[in-house]
Amino acid sequence: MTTMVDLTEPATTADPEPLLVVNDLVKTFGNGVKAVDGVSFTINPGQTVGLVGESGCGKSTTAKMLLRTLSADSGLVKFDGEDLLTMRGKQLRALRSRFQVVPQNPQTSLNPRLPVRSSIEFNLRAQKVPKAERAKRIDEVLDQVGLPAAFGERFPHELSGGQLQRAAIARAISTRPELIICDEAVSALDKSIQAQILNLLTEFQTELGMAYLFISHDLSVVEHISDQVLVMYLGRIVEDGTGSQLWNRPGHPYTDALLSAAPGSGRERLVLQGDPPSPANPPSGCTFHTRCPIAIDACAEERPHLRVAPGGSLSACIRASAT
Amino acid sequence: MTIATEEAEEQTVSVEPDADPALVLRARDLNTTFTAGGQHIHALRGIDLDLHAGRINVLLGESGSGKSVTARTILRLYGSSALMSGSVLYQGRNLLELEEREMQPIRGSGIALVPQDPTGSLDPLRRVGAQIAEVLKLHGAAQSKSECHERAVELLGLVGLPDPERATRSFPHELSGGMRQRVAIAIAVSCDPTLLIADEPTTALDVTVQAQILDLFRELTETVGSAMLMITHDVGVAEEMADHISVMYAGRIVEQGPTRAVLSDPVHPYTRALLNAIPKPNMARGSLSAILGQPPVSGVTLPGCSFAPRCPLAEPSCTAEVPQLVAVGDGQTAACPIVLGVRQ
Repeated sequence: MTTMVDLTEPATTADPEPLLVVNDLVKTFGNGVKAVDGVSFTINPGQTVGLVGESGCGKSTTAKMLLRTLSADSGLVKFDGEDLLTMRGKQLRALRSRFQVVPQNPQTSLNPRLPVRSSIEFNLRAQKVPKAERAKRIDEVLDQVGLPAAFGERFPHELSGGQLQRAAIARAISTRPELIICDEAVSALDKSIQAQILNLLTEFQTELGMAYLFISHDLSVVEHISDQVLVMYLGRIVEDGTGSQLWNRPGHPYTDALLSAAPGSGRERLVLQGDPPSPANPPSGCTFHTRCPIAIDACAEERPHLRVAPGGSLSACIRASAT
Repeated sequence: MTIATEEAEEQTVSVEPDADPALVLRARDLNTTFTAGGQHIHALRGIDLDLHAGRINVLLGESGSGKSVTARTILRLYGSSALMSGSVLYQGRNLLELEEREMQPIRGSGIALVPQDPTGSLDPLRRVGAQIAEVLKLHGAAQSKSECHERAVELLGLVGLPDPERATRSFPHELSGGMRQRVAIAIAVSCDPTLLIADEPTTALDVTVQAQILDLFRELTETVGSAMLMITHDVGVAEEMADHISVMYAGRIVEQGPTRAVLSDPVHPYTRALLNAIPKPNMARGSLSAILGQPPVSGVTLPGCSFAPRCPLAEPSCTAEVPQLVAVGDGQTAACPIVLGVRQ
């Protein structure tokens, strides 16, 4: 999708007007945990970018910073050319209608004491949509996500997990956003329901042309839905490529391990030793070198930057040609 | 509360003569019913299972399909809150007829459970070594303090903890999720069980750690030689681990057979749909075959085939009668008269 011109600046793509530009985002928590350590990527209009990684790799922290529910230590986030991180008050609120979120747990993401309709209306009211239009819009989005209008009168506990996730999506698309951040949006669902939601998200993209930042720990799901996949490990992006580039020839040993670790993948298993190290005290150089099967001494010394790997993806691995 | 039906007793008798030496446990017509607010919830309806030494049988299904209830029924963990019928034949006895005090020595020593969440299953206030020693003492596998310690170190080494000596002195919170699950597995295999039940043992873990734990399970079933009943919702895990798969839907087994047969040539429409709902590489986006609707709400018993309301092949006859498992291949059975009719 993206063609890299300047290899030292992976954040900027050849595309003239990306919808979202994230450059060198950093977040260190008070306890010294480096949750996000220099993350850069772009999302073009109508594009799906997947962010994949294991627990604690900083996926959700990244999402929270983009949503401004968590402040970033440093870095730059531009949404349609405007600086998102310094924006405040009215200006930020106005922009929020253009990017929405579908959170992980449908049980807790909707107000349990409000009917689904009211939850959606709340969002519309916050975006100053006139009252007359709100009711019409709610009926429309409920229909779009495949929920009967009567379901709008129900409370969250009266809906199943899949129906609730549909309601959460209805709320997200009600403001007609250009970008939706899906943070593990299908992880809590059964596989048969997960497939319904993934199809629904794809359908909306074709119809409404919105972009997604799709965050998940499940590489097969991310690969399925994304144009571009970012693989995160200990707060850093270690590989950036299309789903098929990653699948056919992963440029980073961690991606390879993730792919082969998925049960039933049919790939030769690359078993990693031990657990991911603590983000409070990450290893020197390449943070993956302590678990990497092909690490050499040089890996512990210098932080590797994203470079074009033989498979065509960008990989932060000095041994990329050896994978 | 246990209800031993006459039928179950008959089966107990008929099963024994031709008993297969590798057969560890045989469950027949298991039914488990919960009563809540005057309403009966039929969680399990007519489950048959055969578990063999050294083999892994996977129960595959989505949430609420009755996988965990099957495990807990076998272990009799429901006490008087559930009504159970059928038979669970283990070492010549029907577990459902045993007194609670007769069940106690079987749990943990004969049949051991690896729970889903290692954080919840370990005592947060006691050192890992003491928790292993407790199980060993309870089942008479080791007596003296030094013997328990020695065995605990050995077990922790067996499950791949890097420094087993030190791990015995650790508290659960000092270990990572993967390590804690290894400890839970060490406790489960501590008394050389003949049957290991693992209820979603890797669901709480990251994929790279999950891969390590699955490898460990395979090693253990080979070295310990116990039978294993593994419960999972993940088709990938089933594919990788199982010798035999039983697919569950709404409290029933709808299809079962050798792993390869079930996954490469699924017969029941639910099995087919479930396999198609999983994203595979190079698959066109938006082309996942989603199963319409959702599973029946627990407590609602549908007439006939429970899958009929969501089934693309359903015919009016499907709701008339509960379909029975019929042989469709070598050791493979499926409960769908429609597909079978087309095949013949």
